[in-house]
Amino acid sequence: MSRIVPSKSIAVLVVSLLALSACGNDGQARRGTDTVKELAVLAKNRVLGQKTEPPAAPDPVAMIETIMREVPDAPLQFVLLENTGAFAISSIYGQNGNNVTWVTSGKKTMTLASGLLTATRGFGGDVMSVEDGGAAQLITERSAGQVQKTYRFLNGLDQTTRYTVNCSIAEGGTDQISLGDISTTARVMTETCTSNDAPGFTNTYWIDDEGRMVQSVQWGGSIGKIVFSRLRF
Amino acid sequence: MGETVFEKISKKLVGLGAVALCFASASVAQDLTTTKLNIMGRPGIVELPSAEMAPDGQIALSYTKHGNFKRTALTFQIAPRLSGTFRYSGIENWDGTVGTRWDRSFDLSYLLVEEGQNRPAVAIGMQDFMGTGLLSGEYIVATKSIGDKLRVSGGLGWGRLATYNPLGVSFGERGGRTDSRGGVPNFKTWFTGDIAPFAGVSYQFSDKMDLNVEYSSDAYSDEGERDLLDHKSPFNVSLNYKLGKSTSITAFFLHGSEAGLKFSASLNPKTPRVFGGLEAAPLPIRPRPSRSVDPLGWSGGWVAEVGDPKGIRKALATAMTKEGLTLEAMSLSATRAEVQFSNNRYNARSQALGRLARLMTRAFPPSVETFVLTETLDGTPIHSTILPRSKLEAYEFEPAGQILQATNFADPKGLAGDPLVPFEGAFPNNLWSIAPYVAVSVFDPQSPVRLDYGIRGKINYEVAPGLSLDASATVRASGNISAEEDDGNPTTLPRVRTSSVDYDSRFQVQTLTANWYSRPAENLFGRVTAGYLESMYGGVSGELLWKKPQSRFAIGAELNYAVQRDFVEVLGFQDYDVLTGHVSAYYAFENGFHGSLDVGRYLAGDWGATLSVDREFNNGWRVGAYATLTDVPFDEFGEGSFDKGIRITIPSAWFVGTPTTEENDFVIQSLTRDGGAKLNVDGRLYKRIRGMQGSDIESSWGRFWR
Repeated sequence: MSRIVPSKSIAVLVVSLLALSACGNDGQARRGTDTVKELAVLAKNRVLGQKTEPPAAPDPVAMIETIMREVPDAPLQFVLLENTGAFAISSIYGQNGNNVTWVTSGKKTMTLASGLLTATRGFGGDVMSVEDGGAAQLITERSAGQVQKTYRFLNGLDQTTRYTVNCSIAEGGTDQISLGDISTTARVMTETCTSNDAPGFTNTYWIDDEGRMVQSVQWGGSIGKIVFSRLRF
Repeated sequence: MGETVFEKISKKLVGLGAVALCFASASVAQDLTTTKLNIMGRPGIVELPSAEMAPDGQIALSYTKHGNFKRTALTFQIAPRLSGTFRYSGIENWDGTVGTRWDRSFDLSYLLVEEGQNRPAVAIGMQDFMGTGLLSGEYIVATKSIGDKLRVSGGLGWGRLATYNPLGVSFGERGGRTDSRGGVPNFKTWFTGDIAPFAGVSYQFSDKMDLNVEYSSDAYSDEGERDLLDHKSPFNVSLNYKLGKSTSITAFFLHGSEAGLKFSASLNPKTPRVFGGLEAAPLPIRPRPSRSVDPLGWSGGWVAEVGDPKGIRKALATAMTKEGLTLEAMSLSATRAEVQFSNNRYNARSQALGRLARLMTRAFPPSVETFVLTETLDGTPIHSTILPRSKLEAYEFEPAGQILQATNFADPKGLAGDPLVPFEGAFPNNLWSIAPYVAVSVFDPQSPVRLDYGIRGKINYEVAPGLSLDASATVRASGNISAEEDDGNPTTLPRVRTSSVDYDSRFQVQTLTANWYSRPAENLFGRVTAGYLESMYGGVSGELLWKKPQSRFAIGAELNYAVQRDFVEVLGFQDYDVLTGHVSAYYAFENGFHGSLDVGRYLAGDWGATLSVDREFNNGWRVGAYATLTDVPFDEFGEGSFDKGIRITIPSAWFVGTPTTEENDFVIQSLTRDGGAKLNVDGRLYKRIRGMQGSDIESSWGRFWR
């Protein structure tokens, strides 16, 4: 190509008309506006090195008391993300077989089967599915053993990626657990998982005499460790 | 209920998403990959190339300035072993009478041999391989890494890369630069003439900084003769410094005489801001109650009781609206339910299907086992996905591949079903928006970036399924795109595109059309568009496309009668009219590469063909190139000899992390000329139909359960 251009010549880069702020009932057009706004905030934060200041966190104990009082009968579970310290109280959104899906008011869900994490949705970098290799049975029976687990995630092209780990499940001591309506003695079970090409992780579970999960700290991929505390069965 | 806290989480998770799970996608060790660019804007040493490649899919933009020279380059790692570069350079004071000389160039580089334990990687490449070739040079280069930090390269250059200290052997005579218009591959000169060696080393000091030294075989002879650069030494040095994750700055010193700076930014379409998206969780599947709990529901006896399921339609439509889906029609029998819908939110079709299927488990009585989800285009049914309800219940928390095994795709036209009842609120449907806009024009030598801005209004009125009216108009507040002047090379062709700058009214009706989409037969799709088709032409456009839901091949035909619109009068026409159209063949290759060949008559009445190749990423990114050859002789076409260009489509969702079907299209045309020009009619079928069909749905199936 590379013709040296002696006088004027035009090569035009046609940019689709980009909506900056809009009105109307066309959702896509409005969406475009949101896009630009979000990008502007991102750019600003990048340039100024600022992080969006989170609102002051409420006191978890007070929050638990309030919600226990306001929602008298339903099963409830306290959830906390170790990476950020963010927490919420979740209720049951749906149940399919052994899989119980818990939802927060921010429309993020975590699905537990016998208390073991099988999926998250709405966090970004979600756990899409988990094959537990028999871990749930060992843990709720409070027995030691070896299992192979496979976690599935989405990559940047929306393809499913696998992360397979070998886990050894061991029985620990007992702890007294008191939170919400729960007050019980629970057996501590640990699940230590390793893989060849990445650092491993440890999940910890507290199981009561009936084999129910009272509390747990579980690995959720890029979400980090998630703490689950049952407030009411 | 802790909402603010969870919003806080989502905000904090943004950063995590991007670096998510590098360990999970067992990275295929790709030898010698680098995101570093040389001052020509592609992987290399200082100015000369190396055998390094960028990570697959990487896109990099760079700007270099030294002395009289400036270069803007766009490099794309087309495939793991193939890299392509488009460059726009300016040389000041090239000769006394004219200011800056502008020059476009394309490079290609191919990795022949990957690096081994004891052998170097070897690449072969061509720089500025089309046209008069001011920068033309070819090379073979080998690069070997020694430890983690040191990389050593050595190679042989031809053409420009053999102007300093040639070896004295040569591959025949290298022709001079004779073609005055450029734009044509100069096969005859590739790898001919003198040969000269070059070499260099790169040393990575830290994560942020690296130093490069090279012995260059480029003597800058032409530039030297013109006193533009004084070549005192064959050695070049550069220091790269990474400013952020994707930006870097480079300081360099060339040929013992001149210092300069380069700034570059890059990204990879494979790495969106958030993996899997930030959008809210879907409603879970509602498994059916047991037969003993709901005997009536399981028996199908409810059909007689319910009659016309008006309530179900209404409830489903409301739930679908929350998911960004629109219910257009529905059919319901004892065992089968079909939902006809349009999707305006999810770029990944599988996600729209997954969310709709979940809603359907909540809407229909237990005896309904077969779910048919039919997506429409302007109310016309395009593609059906058939899902067994029992499998949805069974596989909700299983890998997505399992439900895919149980899924069938079909053309609704060939699908036997119950009569569909339109949803009362679906038609007529009116969508409108008023928004500011910006249009950008770059590479005009007089003014590198030109901007137009103003307000644009759009209306889309769907009268009935398949029939709609579209209008869009702009009021320009300010701008200078129309101040661009023609390149002053008049040709005998009708001025079908070069006259675009004459449309400079403040108020412009871009389009005003009636559109009709139809399904003449199974696997056959039709479109008729009439009215003001685009900013320069009005008329009638008809299109037919044959495409099977799962096939890689499709064929289409388009016929248009176009009349050129008046420069000044908003709705007026000029005398020029033309019958233009194409027969098109489309093919979807492996790995997201798509090719198409259009053969037919162009706007200026010239006959010819357009070949395009695009690489599509599942998340909506598209990078491609096209070239059009017609019976217009190169002399008459004018500068560039024939029409060609690069196009990039960027999905907004990639940056934002929440779903939107919004896209931004960028087209870099080498030059806007009158030969090989096509009508820009909206709503062309192939890409829209393919995006809704089975194979494209499957490519991002992982999102079904998201």
